[in-house]
Amino acid sequence: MNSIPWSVKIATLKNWHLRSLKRREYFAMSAFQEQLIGLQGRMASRAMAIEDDVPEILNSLPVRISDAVSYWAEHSPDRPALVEGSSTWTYRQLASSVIRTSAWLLASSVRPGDRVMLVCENCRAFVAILFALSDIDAWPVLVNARLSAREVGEIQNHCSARRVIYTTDASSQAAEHANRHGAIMENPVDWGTVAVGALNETAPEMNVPEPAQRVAALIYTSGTTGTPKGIMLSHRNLLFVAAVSARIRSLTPDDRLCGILPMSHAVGLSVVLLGTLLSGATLHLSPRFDPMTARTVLERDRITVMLGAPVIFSQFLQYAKLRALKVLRFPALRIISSSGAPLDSEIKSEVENLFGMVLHNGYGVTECSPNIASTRVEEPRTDTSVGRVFPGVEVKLIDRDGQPVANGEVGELLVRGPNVMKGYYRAPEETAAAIDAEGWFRTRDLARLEDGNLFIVGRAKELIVRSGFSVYPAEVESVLNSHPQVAQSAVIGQPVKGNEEVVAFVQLLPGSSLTVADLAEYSAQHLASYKRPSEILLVATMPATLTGKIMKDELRKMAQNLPVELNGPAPATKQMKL
Amino acid sequence: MPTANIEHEIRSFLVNNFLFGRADALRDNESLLGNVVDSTGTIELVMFLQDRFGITVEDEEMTIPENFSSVKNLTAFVEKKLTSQQ
Repeated sequence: MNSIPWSVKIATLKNWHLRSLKRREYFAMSAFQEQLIGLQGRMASRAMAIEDDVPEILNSLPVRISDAVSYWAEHSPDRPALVEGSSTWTYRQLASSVIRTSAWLLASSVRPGDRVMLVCENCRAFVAILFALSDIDAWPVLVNARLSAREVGEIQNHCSARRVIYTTDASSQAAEHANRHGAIMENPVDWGTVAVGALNETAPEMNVPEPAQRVAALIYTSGTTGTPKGIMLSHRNLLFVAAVSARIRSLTPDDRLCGILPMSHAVGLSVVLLGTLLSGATLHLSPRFDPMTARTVLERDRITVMLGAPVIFSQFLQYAKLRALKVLRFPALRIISSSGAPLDSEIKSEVENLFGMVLHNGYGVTECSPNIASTRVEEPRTDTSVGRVFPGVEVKLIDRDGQPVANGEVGELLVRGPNVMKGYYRAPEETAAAIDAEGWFRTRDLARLEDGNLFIVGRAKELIVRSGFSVYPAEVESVLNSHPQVAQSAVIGQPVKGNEEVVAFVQLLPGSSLTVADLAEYSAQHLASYKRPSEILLVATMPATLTGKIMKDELRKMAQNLPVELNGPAPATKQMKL
Repeated sequence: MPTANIEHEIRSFLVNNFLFGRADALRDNESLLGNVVDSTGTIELVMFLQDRFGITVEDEEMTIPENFSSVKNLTAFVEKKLTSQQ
């Protein structure tokens, strides 16, 4: 992948330009964004149900995610699209860079339908390469550079990547992977240096399906099970979620979003990156989060919308303690929202006091691009409901026999709609087990609906049945987390002869002197006897996925190896280091 | 405080708190933030630096990657702060 001959560049540019002019989707994009602007104006003047607009949104979605920038590159070319450190890229510069990146990829023997791995952290090189791959109908395989060598290797093997590109400028971990794989450093366009792996000549050539079936991103998830699965998200999946979430938050070109969630994951990709660019707003990219840097960015860049995960908001609370701050106020900030993991009520309340504004909540899974529900700006919640079901998406709750549960009862959550993935890559059996013939996707999460608002109770497989009583780990975790000296906790079921016991792993705040006995007493004050942990283990850190989800399967393995006396009283001290 | 002592204390803290006691896992040129210390450990690291060396780490100083790009650079950063406080 050395320098690209100008003849190739010019030919590619011409082809792209012609295709843009001829492509129906290009004009559809213009129609969508004009409709977005018009609807936002109407919404400002009167209350309007977003649900009513879904058919119109779906009809006007473009074909490719890379079309997100086309309209703004033409109509507001000098508005800032991406900010990375001290550099700003306008919509014109972004569109131009995508064209040249497409030429570079084609000259590098990337073919339509090829899987190209991006081992990355948030940066503009990632955005340009992602959109360029989309433009030439190749599949971006998004891999967080923080994954281990083993995980990256497994994904590479499974997807038969034609090329692997590492965003080395923004990520020292990407550079480590690149170095290990013998990738070559290149500086082909205008977004800095990347490393490029050798061409995989044996990667099978694939036919490009019709537009609705094309894959915009292949995202591997091990979730909490440890087995990687490649989730195929179509352009339509991602654009639908991006457009509707932008509408829910009334994003406009004047908004500035904080890009701290990894764009190699579904929320960062659809809601943050694509939602921002579809709206003509500005995204401030950050490869990693720390609360000090985030505070500086929020203040200096007058960020208006910040989407994070509970662990991010917890960090702001710890930051406030470090600086002895009672309040953190950012006058331009109008929305803060959490997703990616259960939001604890204590954290929600403390964050709201600190920021002086509502902390919104949302729920989703990667297979649903990922949005399934979110609280609405106009209907703030004081509890930890994940809000109303995403407009255009259907849900139903079923019992263990597959029958619908009574109103208000807990059941397994099934989802159907334009957000549901195309399937798992090279895994037809897993796909068939996840999505039934009527298009319902099984989330494996337990939930209940109250007045149209969704509450996530826990994972279906995590339900603990102790002495015939149902124990929801999330409830026990919520109690443990409410202790002022607890950072986080995770509760699992441990099978014992004829029964199941409740085992809690607890991570304390730095400097805490809390003992297991203290926690056992605290649990006894707040939980029915059958819900109380029979074993409490203090841990230094929790094994977690890159999005902050605790890997309970790892905890289960550890629990199996412990010499625990599950039926005895909790010992006075028990510590383990994970 | 001599440079060697500052570096030793920083190394010990990182090894014991983030690397489970594996001193060999801390490489000389490895960037600390995002590699050795994940986002949930940043506050812990700053608390340690402030408490142990009596310095104040400003928010803006966290935005300068060089300050935390290696143990040596972090040691130099602490030394500079100590000197400026004298």
